[in-house]
Amino acid sequence: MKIASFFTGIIGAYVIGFLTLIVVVIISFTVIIPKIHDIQAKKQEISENRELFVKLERKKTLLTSIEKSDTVKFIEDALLALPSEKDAASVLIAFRNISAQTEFGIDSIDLSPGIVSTASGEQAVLTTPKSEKRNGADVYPISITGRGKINQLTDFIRTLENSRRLFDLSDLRITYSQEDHEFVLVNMTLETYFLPPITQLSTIESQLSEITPDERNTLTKISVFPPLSTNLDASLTDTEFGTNTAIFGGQP
Amino acid sequence: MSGEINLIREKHFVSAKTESVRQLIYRLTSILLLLFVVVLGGSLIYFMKLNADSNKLNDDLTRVKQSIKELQKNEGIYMLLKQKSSSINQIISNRYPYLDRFDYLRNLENENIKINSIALSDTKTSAINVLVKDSPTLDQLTQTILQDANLKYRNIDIKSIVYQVDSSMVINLELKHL
Repeated sequence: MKIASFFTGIIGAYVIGFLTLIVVVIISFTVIIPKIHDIQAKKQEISENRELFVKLERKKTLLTSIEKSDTVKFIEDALLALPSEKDAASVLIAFRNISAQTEFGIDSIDLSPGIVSTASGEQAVLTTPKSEKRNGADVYPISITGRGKINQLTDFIRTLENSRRLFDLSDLRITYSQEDHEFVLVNMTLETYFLPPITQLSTIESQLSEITPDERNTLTKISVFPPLSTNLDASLTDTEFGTNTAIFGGQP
Repeated sequence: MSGEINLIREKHFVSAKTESVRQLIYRLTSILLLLFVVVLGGSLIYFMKLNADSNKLNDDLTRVKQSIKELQKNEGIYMLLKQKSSSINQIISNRYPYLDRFDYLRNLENENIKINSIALSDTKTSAINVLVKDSPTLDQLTQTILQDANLKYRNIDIKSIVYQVDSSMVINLELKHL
């Protein structure tokens, strides 16, 4: 009764109030405040995971797009345009076909791809000390001498630039014939490209670098270029192609 | 004998002010407790909800990572395509306009100007060797080239002039393009 009367008194009221306050403070510091930190950490984790999920979904969409037919076509065209190996043979085939198509005569071809095979017959390591880089790819030079009419030369250059196998002119020297001013002798230096493939995949969580619209448009553009570095006409013989070749830098 | 006898034992007489203070304390304590319970309960419930969302998201992540792992072969092909397309785009974009330059130079030719040779380089330098009939023709040639000079060329150099017996001249011109 004394206890009951104590709590019904003013002192009891103060004690109850004070004890309640103590309990609230203790539980706040031991439960609520840590819980608030946990909530913040959890929200941060969810936000990061959500971002990662969106990126991975995008990556999955890109990877699935590989199976579409237009992407498969892009891959074929890109490999033809920019082979993974030096592929000197396709270069020679391209020049043969372009020469035949434009009727511009090639007198000599001098190309120096460097090592294309090791002694064991295996494919060489794809980069050599001579290999320079330009436009993100490896290059090796080709020198061509030829002759023909001016319009045949311009057709030759135009066809070269529109060939799906990519070449770049780096030097062009044209000498007009004294006898026939429409006839020219030409020395040109070209560069041909190759690009060894990436051999290491990224981690699952890393993002793929997307193909940009510009790059996609370029792939669409080159897909209509004729594939002149494949055998177009098996009936063409070497004598029709040219009288001299100096493959791998030897004398014609 | 005077004195009062209180027949009501142990009754405390509390003043009105004390009673109101006591009521206020109990009211405040109740409100505090109520708020505390709401905050504690709310935070626990919210944390449980976040946990559930996090678990669902983790499941989705696991699922999509598994899908990507199964598409590893495609990843190799995609990276190859990206590598090639990036380089092809650079090659096509950075091409030097040989045919445009060649056409421009050969169109300088007329009955009094005869081109002997043209040299073009991707270092943005063109060189032309021409036979001009006479000095007025040379003036005409330089004027033609100078017309577009500001738009096209950084430098226009006449490297040499060789007079021929018949008063014609063989000129070597070098043009550095912008």
